[in-house]
Amino acid sequence: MRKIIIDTDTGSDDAIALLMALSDKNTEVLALTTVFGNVSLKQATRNALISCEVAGVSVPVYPGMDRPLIRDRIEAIHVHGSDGLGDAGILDPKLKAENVHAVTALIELISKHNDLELITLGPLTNVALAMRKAPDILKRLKKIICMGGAQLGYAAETEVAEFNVLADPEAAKIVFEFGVPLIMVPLEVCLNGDGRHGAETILDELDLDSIKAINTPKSEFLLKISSSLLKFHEIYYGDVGLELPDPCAVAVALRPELILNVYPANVTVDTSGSLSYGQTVVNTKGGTVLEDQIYVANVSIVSALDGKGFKTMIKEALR
Amino acid sequence: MNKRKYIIDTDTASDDAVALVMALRSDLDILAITCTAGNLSLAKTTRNARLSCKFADTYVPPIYAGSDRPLVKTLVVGENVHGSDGLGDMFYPEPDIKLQEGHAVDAILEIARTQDDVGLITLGPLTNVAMAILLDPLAMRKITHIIAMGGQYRMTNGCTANAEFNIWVDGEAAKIVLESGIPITMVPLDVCYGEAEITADDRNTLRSLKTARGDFFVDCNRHLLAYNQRSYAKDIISMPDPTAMAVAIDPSIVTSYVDVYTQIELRSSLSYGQLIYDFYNRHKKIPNVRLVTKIDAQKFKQLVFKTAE
Repeated sequence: MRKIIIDTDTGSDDAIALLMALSDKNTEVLALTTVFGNVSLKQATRNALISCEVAGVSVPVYPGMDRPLIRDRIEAIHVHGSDGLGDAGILDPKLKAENVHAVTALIELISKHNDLELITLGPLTNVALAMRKAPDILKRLKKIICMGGAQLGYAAETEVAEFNVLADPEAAKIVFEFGVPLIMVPLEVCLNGDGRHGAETILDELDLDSIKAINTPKSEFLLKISSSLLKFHEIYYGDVGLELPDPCAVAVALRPELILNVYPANVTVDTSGSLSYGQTVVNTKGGTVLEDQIYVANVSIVSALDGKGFKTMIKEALR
Repeated sequence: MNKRKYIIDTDTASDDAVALVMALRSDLDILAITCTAGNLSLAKTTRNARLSCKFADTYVPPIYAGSDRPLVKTLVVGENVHGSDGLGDMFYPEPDIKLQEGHAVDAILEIARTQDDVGLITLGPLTNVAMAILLDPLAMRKITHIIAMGGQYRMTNGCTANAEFNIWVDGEAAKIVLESGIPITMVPLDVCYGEAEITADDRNTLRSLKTARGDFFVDCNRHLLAYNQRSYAKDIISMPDPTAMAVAIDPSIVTSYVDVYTQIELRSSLSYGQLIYDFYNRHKKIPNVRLVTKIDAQKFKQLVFKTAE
């Protein structure tokens, strides 16, 4: 049985990702830790609890950081709605969050379990702080599957940065350089190669119809909370499409066989505070002035995912 | 029809040399060749520009020496890529072609002031062009357009992870050129690799011509070949400058482009010299760059072969 912790800034695609993980029979989700990001910490925690209720499981939810390490907070309510769940009038959860800080919980859980995997769906603030507070314990993590970053030329939040990394570049730098095997699921895996719509993993009108036909509380929930993301897509591209970065990361973690292409690279994060702030700087090999540089690959970059298998996985989770 | 008039600014090493030969054997009217430091020291780039004219064997435009260092940074050269002489360490004999008196920047400005419809092709760092813009921006506004070999948008590790050599060597100069208001067509590294790579078969084609130029194109690039083998595990000669020159000679070689507002990163140590393209038009700025995203590689190669005949 795969044992995981998910660190999440629960907005609408995080919620779908949580449903997938919490519904997977071969996966034990030990805890959810929440962080600011798409929405405020408070809202993210509320949404994580709601996701547990919809999934019909009770998993401890630990609230963590409500701000980035250094920079000012940014959020993405223009993408996910002001409540992060598409402003669909989802009621407050009955479940309550734990009264322990996420950073404390992460260290505690990792110290008690071997072969633990961490999936991160938001800014890396909690994880970075845990790494600085208890490096020896965090080194015991088997791997980190991180939705975050972008390869050169594909970013979408600024010209060069992806949201989760941009929301706390300093934390991301700590995590990327820490030394635990890190699998990076960049944004463009869930968009297409041009950074525009049409990717294999984007749910189209037909997919949404077939999800509607599943007709369970989970499928209904997915459709309800996705309205804001769908609207965002329509404004940009003029058609129906649901882009699901966080579910892609869960798919990579739980169904590695869906990975169509992955390559090792040296990745660090630009913390200059300038135009390239928050950029994941991907080094492979060569370069006029870097010819003699020896790169230690610290990250595996997933650059293509089996869209059909991914969509099947989502639909199975909703039944 | 009048020939299209261009000034070529170059840090002449091996692929620049091919580009210069292409230009001088084309329908373009090359008014001047202005040299800058970059791939090599200024002394070496001026020598190689003169040598290239010799190999072109057509006419010799005035050749000027210009900046021997970037505006702000310290000069870093690329002898590891092109050889210590910049021409594959072939150590060709000194050509009987002289440099023109005067500074390259003055030569560019003089042409800009006195002639109309002149374009600029840049094959190296943009130091000379930036200096000309700083000294006489009004005169430089008469330059109709710049075709620049520079930048990269998806290919990593051209020079550094995110920056290409010509831009990286003098990022400050690139910023001045980007903000000058002169229309810029940028030929990025991305389109100079891939289908445009000169393969072993292509090199055989050049050799089989049994011409001095065919041999020159292969020989002077032998260090570049070794660099590509070492750095990228590719048995190819990459030809960035000839690709940019081909775009000038035959604009129909460009099969796809994006007009995009482009800035440059100068303050990040990791990303210095990276061009930042606003593909999504977030800044609502008028595009200052026409970024070439696809070329007809076969047409490009045919032009190289034809030049070598």
